[in-house]
Amino acid sequence: MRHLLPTLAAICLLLTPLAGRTPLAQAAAATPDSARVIVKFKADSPLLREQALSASARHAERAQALGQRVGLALRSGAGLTERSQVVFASGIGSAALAATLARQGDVEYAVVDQRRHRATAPNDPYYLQGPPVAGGSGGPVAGQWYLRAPSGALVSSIDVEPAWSISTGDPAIVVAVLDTGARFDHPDFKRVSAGGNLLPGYDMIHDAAVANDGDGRDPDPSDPGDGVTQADVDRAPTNCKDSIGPSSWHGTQMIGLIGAVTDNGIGIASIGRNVQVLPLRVLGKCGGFDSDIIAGMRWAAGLSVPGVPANTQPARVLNLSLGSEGACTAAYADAVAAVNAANAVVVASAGNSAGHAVSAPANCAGVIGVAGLRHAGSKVGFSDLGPQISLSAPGGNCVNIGAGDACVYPIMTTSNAGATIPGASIYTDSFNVSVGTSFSAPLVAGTAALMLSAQPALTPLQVKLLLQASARPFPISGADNGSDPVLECTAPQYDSNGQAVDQLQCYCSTGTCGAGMLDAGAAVLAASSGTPAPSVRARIDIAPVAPLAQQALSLRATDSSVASGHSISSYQWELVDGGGIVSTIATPTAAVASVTLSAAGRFTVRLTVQDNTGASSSARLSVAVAAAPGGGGGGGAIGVIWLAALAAVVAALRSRSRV
Amino acid sequence: MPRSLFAAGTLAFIALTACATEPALEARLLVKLAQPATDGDAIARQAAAIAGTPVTYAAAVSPQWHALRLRCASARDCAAALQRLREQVSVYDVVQRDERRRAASSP
Repeated sequence: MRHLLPTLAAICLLLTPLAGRTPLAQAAAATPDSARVIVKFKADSPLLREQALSASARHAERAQALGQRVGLALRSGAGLTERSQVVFASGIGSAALAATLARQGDVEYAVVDQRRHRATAPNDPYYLQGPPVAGGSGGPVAGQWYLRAPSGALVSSIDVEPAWSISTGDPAIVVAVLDTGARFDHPDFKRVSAGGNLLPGYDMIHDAAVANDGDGRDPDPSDPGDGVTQADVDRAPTNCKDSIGPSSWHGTQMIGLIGAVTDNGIGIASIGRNVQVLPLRVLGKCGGFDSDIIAGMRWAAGLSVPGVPANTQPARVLNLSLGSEGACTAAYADAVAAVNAANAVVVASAGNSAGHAVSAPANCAGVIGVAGLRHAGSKVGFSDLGPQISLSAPGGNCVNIGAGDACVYPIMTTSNAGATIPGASIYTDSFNVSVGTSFSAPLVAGTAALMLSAQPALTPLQVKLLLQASARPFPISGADNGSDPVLECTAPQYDSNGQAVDQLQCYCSTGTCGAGMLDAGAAVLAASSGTPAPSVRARIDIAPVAPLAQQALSLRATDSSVASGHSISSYQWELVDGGGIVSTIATPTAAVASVTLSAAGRFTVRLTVQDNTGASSSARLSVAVAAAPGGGGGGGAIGVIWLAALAAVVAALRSRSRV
Repeated sequence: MPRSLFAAGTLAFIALTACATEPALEARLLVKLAQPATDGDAIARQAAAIAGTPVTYAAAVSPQWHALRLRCASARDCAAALQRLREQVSVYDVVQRDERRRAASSP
């Protein structure tokens, strides 16, 4: 009998993980468990000092001790590692239990132990392949290539299926789409009132001529069309120049990417699937004004806008696939700070000026600025770039087609066929092409919504840092298309007169296109597993932004980000490639270093910053240097000689002409 | 009709026509009030008095930020009116253009 008791006890302990209950817990398990949480203890937790014989017994003792401390009867579940395990409780929700445990000083993290489902492709037919190409319509053959797993030539695809295996979107998470409004009649959309995910939204355009719906602000964000005629231009020549064209249905296109009804056997799949979408009309004929866009941002986040009824369903994510060149204004800076403080993430497109500086508002602090990628992972020609970019995502590209050929890799989405007023509901395809950094932003916004579905407690900064930390590295080869070799992207380029220079396809770096390529699966996994957000991220800015030969150039790390409570303890600048124009970096361990540019050309530097906990981050940036005005690309001495020779020739010609 | 009278009449006609068709410019502004307010008419009246040019209230952005429209005879007049508003730092924290943005697609 003396031997029998320990044997029975051992069997009992061995069976415990299978049953999900400890003997102690079984006594208390009269009520069903309502909460299920994974908790990980810090390495120095006093609870880890328990010396029970088996792992399951140690986990049981820790659960009991932790429960006593927080006043709950915790029951132990399966152990994951020596320091992490599942715990159960009744009479409390999983999220509340996780929050309670996470507040304990010796708990590294506590997250809801969520039920997962097998990752499967949705049954929306265009997810895998677009409609057949015939008579100048249809395609793309690659379907929604941008959502699927990277494979072969599809390097930048965002791999959303692993994300869906964690969460197919929580309807409690709302994504606001600030754009031209919505075509609610699209068959791939469904209103919340009909059991779908499309909220009523609001029309925030105050100018009736811009709104094109006969009035100012109103509760109907239906898109009446934003086509512009010569008459519109004549009426508002300053604001409407270069705008003549058909209606874009741009808002409907963005909404489809984030919230089209998915797994419904028709059309396309959306990233957010079950998250709710809040359409906000802020763009109309000839675009929209900051006053309406910013009012829309505030309202979306649940902040007050005088004269507009309060938004009862504030958004956690705002998508702004809009912008224009110029610095972040005070109005945007104020708005983004207020929206972030209201716990909402702001995602914005980099802009489509062919490699110029990032547009506003994507260049504002607190915004997740998104640049556009080709299918091959290189920066797509139209996308803007710069240090303000957080990460990159597919923007659509066509692969060197001739007139009338099918575009191979557009971003297929919902749209409308009407030239001016609404017509038939359609999907964009290989001929009615949708490309632009507009389409990159919703891929990130939709992913952010899934992250928040999996872990609603994430702050906007944590969402940004986890998106960046989980991004895949940019490729540095494989994107050449048979013509000119593809070079590494540089900081936005300028000519000798300070005019912006186009920078088409190029290989991204962390200094130009953000942390990497969006990986939706990895981002949502990081969010759901309680992976701590990185505490530091390096960023390189240069001054002046339009460097010229013979100048000194400042390299600034001062906009590197660091988490609250952390501080940057060291900076290290390295010259990766001087390019024959830079020989050394002055003050290479300071926040602001400098180089002297001996001539036109390009050079590359790397910055590594480390915070007070030892965490580090690096960024790499290539810089193109223009010749000094009149310098002809060479050194200053040569320029002076050349000018002197030119002056002599001009003087000789003038004297000859007098004869 | 004496030639001088005809000439004077022609000049007067030209002058009147010029006045009638003189293009008025509109500048769209965003102002951040030093003290939050929500009475649009009062905000516009105060701005007109400071700017020295007609101002209409366009829209509220927040209790502090408001959109206004200035009417000026020329770009130079608009710039001067803006400057007068900016100088009133006890009334306005920020005065900036209400800029136009576009959808970032179809490059």
